Amino acid sequence: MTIFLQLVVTGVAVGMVYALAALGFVVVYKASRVLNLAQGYFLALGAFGALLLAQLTRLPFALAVLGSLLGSLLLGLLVERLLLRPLIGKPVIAVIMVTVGLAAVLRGVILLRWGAGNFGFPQLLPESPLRAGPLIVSPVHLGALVISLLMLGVFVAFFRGTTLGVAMRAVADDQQAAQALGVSVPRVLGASWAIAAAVAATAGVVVGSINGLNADALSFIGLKVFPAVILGGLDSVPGAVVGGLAIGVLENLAGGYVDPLVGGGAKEVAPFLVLVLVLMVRPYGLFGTVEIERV
Amino acid sequence: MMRRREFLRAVGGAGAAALLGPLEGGAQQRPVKLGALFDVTGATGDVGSHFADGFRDYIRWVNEHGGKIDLIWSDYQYKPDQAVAFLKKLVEQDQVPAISGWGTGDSILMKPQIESYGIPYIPASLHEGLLDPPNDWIWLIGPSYTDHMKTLLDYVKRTYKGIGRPRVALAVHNSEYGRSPVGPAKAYAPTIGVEIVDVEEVPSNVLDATSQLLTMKRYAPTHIIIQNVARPAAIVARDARKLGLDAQILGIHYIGDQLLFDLAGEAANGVIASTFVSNWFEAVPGMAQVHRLNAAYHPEVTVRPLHYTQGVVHAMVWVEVLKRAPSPTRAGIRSALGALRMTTGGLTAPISYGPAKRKGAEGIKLLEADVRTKQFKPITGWLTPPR
Amino acid sequence: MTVRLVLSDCSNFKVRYQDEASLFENDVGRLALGAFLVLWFVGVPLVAGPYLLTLANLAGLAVIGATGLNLLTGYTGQITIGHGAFMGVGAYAGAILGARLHLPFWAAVPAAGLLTAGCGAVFGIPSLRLKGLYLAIATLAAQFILEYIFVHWDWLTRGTSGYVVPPAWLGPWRVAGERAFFWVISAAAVLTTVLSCNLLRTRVGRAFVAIRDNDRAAAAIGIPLFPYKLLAFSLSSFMVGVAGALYAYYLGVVVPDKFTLDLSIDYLAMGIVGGLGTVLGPIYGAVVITVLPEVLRAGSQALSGVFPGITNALIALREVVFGAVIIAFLLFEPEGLADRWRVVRAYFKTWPFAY
Repeated sequence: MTIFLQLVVTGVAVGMVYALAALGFVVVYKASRVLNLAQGYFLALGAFGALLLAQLTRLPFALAVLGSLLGSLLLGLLVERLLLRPLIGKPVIAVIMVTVGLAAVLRGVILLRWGAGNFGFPQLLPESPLRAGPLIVSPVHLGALVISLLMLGVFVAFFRGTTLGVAMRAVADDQQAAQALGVSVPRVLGASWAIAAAVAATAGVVVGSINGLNADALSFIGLKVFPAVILGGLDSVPGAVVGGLAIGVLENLAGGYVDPLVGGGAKEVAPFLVLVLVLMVRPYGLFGTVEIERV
Repeated sequence: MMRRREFLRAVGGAGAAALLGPLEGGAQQRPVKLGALFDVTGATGDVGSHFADGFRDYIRWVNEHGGKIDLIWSDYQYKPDQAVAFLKKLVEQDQVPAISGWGTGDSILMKPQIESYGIPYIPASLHEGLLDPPNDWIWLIGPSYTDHMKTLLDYVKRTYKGIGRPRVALAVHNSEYGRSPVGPAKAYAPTIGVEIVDVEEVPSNVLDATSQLLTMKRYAPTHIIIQNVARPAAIVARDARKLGLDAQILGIHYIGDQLLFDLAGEAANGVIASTFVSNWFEAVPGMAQVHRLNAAYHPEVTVRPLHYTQGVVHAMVWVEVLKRAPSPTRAGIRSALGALRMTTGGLTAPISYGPAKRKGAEGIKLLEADVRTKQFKPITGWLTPPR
Repeated sequence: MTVRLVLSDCSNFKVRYQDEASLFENDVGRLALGAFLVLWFVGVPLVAGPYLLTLANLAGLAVIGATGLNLLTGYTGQITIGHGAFMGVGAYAGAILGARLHLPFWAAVPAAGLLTAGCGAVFGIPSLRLKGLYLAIATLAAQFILEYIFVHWDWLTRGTSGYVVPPAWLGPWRVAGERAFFWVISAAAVLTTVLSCNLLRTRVGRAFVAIRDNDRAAAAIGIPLFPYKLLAFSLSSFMVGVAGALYAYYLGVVVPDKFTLDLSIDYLAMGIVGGLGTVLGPIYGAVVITVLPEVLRAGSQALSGVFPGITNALIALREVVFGAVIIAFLLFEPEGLADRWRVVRAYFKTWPFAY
């Protein structure tokens, strides 16, 4: 039983990171129906950006992270303006591929500045793990959980409270109606990409502080996002969170219980098997809106 | 800048004299070609870039002191396709007489081609399987991963003070590189009274190894041996401690990296790494030259992982072979390589090749990680791996 | 036989249905094609060195795979991000059929193609319920699931230690070396292109295009969607399976490292750069995407010979250039090189008139 709980606890910690990345993904999809295959690199760039700022300036680490977030906001705006806007109305394959091209460019930028090696953030939290009964949690994971929950809270407040947030929900619901009511759709699209990049950057900083920075390892999270968003629903923000957590837990459970039986690898492939299962049984996920086609 | 001038002055004379061997032949000073595949920006680029730097730095230094080695290299990004295409280009278009390789997977892929071309090849990989017959053209620079594993198992047996037999769990990379020592470990361990209780696979993009380690914990291992690259190895060490696994942690080669201290913190203390090259901080004579090479061409880098040194050693071997080869052809180089005897100033055990001996430096050193100084200290001299 | 070599009319003027279906309006195109083929099969091996032949072979394999992708994504509109994994299925199938069942080369390759087609059909089953992006994501999952199988089902694929492929014999002729494979691979590429081309002139091809353009309307006029989609998956997998099997025999050993997501993305890039939905598009795209990394490598090699300090930066720039090329094509030439070629040809055809 302890093993089960321990796996779940770790799964939740990892799942929070997936949830953050998935959140950014969903925001973009809701606004513009685009699958952002560069989400993993927004994540990596956010982490490396924080590293750069921390190294270049003598700012305390928290400010470096903030700086990286601001930079990511800017990056998202730029990406939308330069890459996505010219492709409005083009076939969906073109938009997917432009995010692929963007991913390659971002990867190249990281390689250019840092190379393929491993890097670390300055240590912020104590290392010795905390114990809650028989369960063990590392402070970094707890910190990650707290930050992720905070971010979620900010999100919810943003979407409920601010004008821009409400405008984004309107555009996601019905673009034309929103336009008729005076919402500037290009601004909303830009905002959605900016948010996606910033949220991914947060996730990147979180993962980076747990596991060090490595361009390929960080960007792989961008692929784990897919099982999470399919499970939760491609256009559902709460779905992204639930999906991310679920996939994190599932992964760990598969690793703990199935891997010993098959000799390894189940942990990596389980999320994708779940993805296929969900697609076959309930394609719109737990919370996604069902698309009904009427002929 | 100052350092560089001093350095050049100090060793220039000696170096030039040492290198003038076959180049004395008079006017024909034609450059000798050497091919090399590196992974600088690919999946193993985090260590490959250091290897590439070490290798290229040494060749550059040699060329700056009268040598004429035309190094034709490429960053193949760990992609098998690019490796094969580049191999063919090197052999057929550039007509290099020898090639330095890198990765396990692509070396396996290229082996049939290397055999059919008949070109001397030394990869950075230490995969035992590359020497399987038919093999006339592939040599390894040092003891294979299997040799490291056996040496560590011997060490485990020697130092185990508990009751019963030592129980060893393995945490390996999910590739041929990771898996290759597992079978031999399972065969060898019972013969010396050690039990292999569990094998877990940990991929390189791992975020957390909790599930693998919880499974391992069920078997109550007394020792954990890690065959993985630096980042996952450090994560396994850290998570093992975190989950209360107080087994002695040992690792093969790649774990001996500064990243262990950065990522695993306190958990790194006492981790034992096996290596066949000396550590950056060791006071062996050859290390001074390695430091100088790095300082001369990369003054902004203060510490290098052991792959830099390994790159230098590989380059040293090739330079020596090219010097001794009767002719700069594949056959000539093979004959020189097959009978090579040289030392590297303590960077590795003495290197020798022979008709039945295809692993150059057959010495493995064990290092212990010390968290206070964030360095690896050697705890043995050069050990010969068991047969 | 009389050769009609006339200047074509400046309009679409056809009097028979046959003319509309034919590939070439007049014999200029046919002669050009024939000349090109002769040059290719005879001239290239004479002139090109072994390295260029290697590139030609890799490009040829890519052409076969890209033609398959084009059939599925360009003509039937089903996006697949799993194409690379299916090449792996073909490679392993070819290796296993040759090594375990001792099928000769000329039988193992098509049989591997058929096995891959079956596999493709299985992974195409989600298309019954899924469309567009959801289907694309399903193919992404297929990519990872197949990768897992390649690496972990040791008993079938020998996992990461590599599956050795027996030598290839075509009757008495041993197919080995760059030149021999050049002919085999180029012939296969030509056959695949012809197959694709002819397919599109048949009922099946028109059904594919109808499904791409508006699948609800297609269903409304009586085209059964699911069987045709499955057929598209099968055919495209057959082609890439053949490419995979040829690749296996060409290299002599199969390791899983090649058949990753990067390869699937490369195939999509070939489609974009070449032009989805055209016959020549896959050829242009395959050649560009295969040759570009080599050109970049040679370029950065040459430059780093002159400026050794920025070597690593130049290497990293390759990634940036690759991504930038894709983005540039999407922004400025979304129909691909095939379209650019069409525009150029049309310019000459209608000159001095504008249209």
